[in-house]
Amino acid sequence: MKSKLLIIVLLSHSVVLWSNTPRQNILDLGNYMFFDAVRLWKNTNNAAGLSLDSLVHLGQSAINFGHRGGNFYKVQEGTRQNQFSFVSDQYQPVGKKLYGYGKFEFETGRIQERAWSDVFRSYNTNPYFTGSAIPGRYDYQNILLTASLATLPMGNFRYGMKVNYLLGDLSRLRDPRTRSNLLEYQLIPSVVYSLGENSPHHIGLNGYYKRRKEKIPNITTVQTDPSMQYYFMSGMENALGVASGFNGYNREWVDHRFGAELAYSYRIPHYYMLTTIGLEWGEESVYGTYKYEPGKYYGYRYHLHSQHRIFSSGNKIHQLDFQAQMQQDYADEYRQELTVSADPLTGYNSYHYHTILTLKKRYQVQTFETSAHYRLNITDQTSSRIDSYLGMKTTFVWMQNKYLLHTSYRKHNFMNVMLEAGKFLLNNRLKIDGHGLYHRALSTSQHLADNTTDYATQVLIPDLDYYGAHYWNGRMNISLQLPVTWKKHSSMIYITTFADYLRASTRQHSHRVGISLGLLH
Amino acid sequence: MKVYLLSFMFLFAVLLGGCVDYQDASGTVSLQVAITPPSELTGAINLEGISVSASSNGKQITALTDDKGVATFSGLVPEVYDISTSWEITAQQYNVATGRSDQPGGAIISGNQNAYSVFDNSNVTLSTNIISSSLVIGKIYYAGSKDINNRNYLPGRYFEIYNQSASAIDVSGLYIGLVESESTPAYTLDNIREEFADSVVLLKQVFRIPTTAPFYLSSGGSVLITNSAIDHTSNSTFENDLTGADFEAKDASGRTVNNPDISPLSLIYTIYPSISNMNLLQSGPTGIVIFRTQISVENLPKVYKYGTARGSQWLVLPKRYIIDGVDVVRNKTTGATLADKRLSADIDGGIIHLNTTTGYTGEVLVRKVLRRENGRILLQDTNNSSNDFQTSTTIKIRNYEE
Repeated sequence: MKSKLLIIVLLSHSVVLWSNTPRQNILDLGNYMFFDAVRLWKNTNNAAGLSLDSLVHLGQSAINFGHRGGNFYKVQEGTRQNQFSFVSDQYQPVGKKLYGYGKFEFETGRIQERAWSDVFRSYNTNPYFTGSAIPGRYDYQNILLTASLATLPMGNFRYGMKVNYLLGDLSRLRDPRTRSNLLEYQLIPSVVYSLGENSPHHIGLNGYYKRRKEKIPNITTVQTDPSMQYYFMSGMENALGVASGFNGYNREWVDHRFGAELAYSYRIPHYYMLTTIGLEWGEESVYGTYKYEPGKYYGYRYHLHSQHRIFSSGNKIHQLDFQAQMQQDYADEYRQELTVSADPLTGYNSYHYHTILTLKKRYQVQTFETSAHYRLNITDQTSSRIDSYLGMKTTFVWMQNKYLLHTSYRKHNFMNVMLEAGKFLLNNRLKIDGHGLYHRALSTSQHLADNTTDYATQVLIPDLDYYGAHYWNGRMNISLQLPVTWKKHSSMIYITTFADYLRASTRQHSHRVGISLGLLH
Repeated sequence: MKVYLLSFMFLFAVLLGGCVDYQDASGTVSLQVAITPPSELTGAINLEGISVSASSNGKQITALTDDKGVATFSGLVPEVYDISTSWEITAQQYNVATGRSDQPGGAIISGNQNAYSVFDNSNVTLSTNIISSSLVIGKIYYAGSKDINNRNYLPGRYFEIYNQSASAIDVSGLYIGLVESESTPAYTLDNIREEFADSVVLLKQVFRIPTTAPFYLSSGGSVLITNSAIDHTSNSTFENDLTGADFEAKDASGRTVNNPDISPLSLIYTIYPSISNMNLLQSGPTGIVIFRTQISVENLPKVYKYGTARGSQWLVLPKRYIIDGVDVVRNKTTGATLADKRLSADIDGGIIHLNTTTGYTGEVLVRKVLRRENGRILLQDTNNSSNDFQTSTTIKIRNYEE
């Protein structure tokens, strides 16, 4: 696999070096990076602000291949992963009064030797998921659609709407064979108010509703091993293993979330600023056979995102971003009783689970993450494109999972320091960029009320080494871009290869390699 | 601009104060269980130091009673608990307490309270009864197994009746009833309470040990009853050599291999026109009762499923004839549920089930050993199969210890 990738890279390099085609004045990766840096509203959920950023017609499409391997991973992540994806997005005016953004993404992949989770989300989330202790192969396919539409100014107001739509499929290819189907959609209406026709002050507001449903309708087996256990998790080490528990199994997770975001933007020729704060709250119900509920999960999210762009000396853009987000979730655990009642007239039986006991907030998840990122972008004097950049980012993360009665917990916090840089070379045909990152695990502690359960011995205790490890990570991307003309229309195609390597203090490592073939349009 | 920015920071700080108050999470509770002795015990009886257990999700905690007969559980997780107690009294203590001498081997006093919801600090009164069974159902093997070709193997199933008493007992004429086992109960316990005042058990099949000749079961001995009294060991390591079985339920259809040398069980009643041997469901429910009566069992009333007037009919057996019963239910992914109980608490205060949801695991339900007395094993009998039984894949026929 790796040798084939190397051949492709070398061939594409040789084509570029032999080409004598003069470079035409068409948008390239440097332009894309420039517009990416100066458009701030696209980093929020407020679609109405898109027309404040820029009205440029720009997009890109790419196919990507990637591989992850190594021996530094968590149990529920799997050992290796191969992925293929196709991504296409486009910013463009729509008619005379609208500006739009659309994105389509399809990804498919295979994860090897994954265990203990048959659902899409395994960490810092709903504890009532299920899985098998037997490592197996998982295939997944996801389709993501995003569409945003913003009006041009209507008086002092701009209006917008954003829709996100996600379809997912996660299939386990070894007994017991689950297939999880995911559907998630989000509707985000928004508005931006400018304090005057040429005012630098803008206030944005958006609200949203998000619905997520994940469902495993049944589990099939090819072998007939009645002693094979299937596990039902309820938080930390608590996982009930039931022999042949996959028989008659069905479960669905239905999540309803509401959110709101308030934004303030200050924009003058040499300084852009956009600060948003947001709040999201919701609850997720879990249903089994006859609407059996093991519990209910509640979530609250808060975030602050402050973006600053300072234009100086004619060719420098100072990029400063601060982010903070907090998660406060908990689960109420239920004890339910099944009542069966027969209708004497029809003879039909009715099955109904009712809750006889609620253990409030028995499982708790709290996370906090904050980061500060500075990047110095050097732009091309003659056009809106970034020629090189240098930057630094620090991140601090704290997280805690806790289960009460009897108390078990895991606390973990770490800090990352990253240095990044990138430059265009060879008449902007070649771009090289990358980063070096140091991850320092500041403290990791875990206490289990029962450290002999299968989930404790096979997931939580082994994963503790992962959380407690420090590591170095380096990544390099090499991109080659060249102009193409087709039917008198000029575009830029590019090939990007990347290699990412991580070395942990536990003497473990992981690596990622990949290649992308893209087109800017 | 600074004003706006500072306002945003302030708003975020307010939000960060948190919308979630984790202080109101559920905490531990306490439970006090007060034992009331059986009504037959009119004399003085010491209730101090008796072990009371509270079980939930397969975990059991115990507490001892004080001089008032009250056991206190502190730091309890709010949960639905099965509360039970049992203790032995000697023949002399029994005589002092009742003025009677009909229990020369002493007696067991037992009480059960199932599915008691403990959400706050609680007090519960646990009433008890005297348990005196000479004959008990000792073992039930209904799960079946997978044979050497990984196919379902069911012919080697059996159950045993054990003699707890100090003397031999003639078991000829003893009835064996297989309890109704529809996927949804034909009659729930509430239906039985409503229509029969809690006085009956519904049976799908009834067999009888022949009365043609006495069959003495020695003290500490087992009656082994099976559908197929052949050697099954070559098919699976979980199976047994049943050529030494005492009785065999013969299969009139010929689908099951029978042993002509083994005495047949008499088929008294069956709801299945085409099934003449014991219909033991490999995943459960597979409740069994043993009983004696002089009345004509064939002429006992029959009922259709509750609320219907057609279909199968189950035999209605008055509970007063029952010597012992075991309420075997089906295990589910959501856990075995008391909603599947067919036997009232005075026959079996609990439920028992396999660890699997489907059977074919070679698991056998075995009554636990209480102790050895004069060379024979005494099996635990607190009238609560949840406490009295365990599962095993290694205990063989006529044995009760690993």
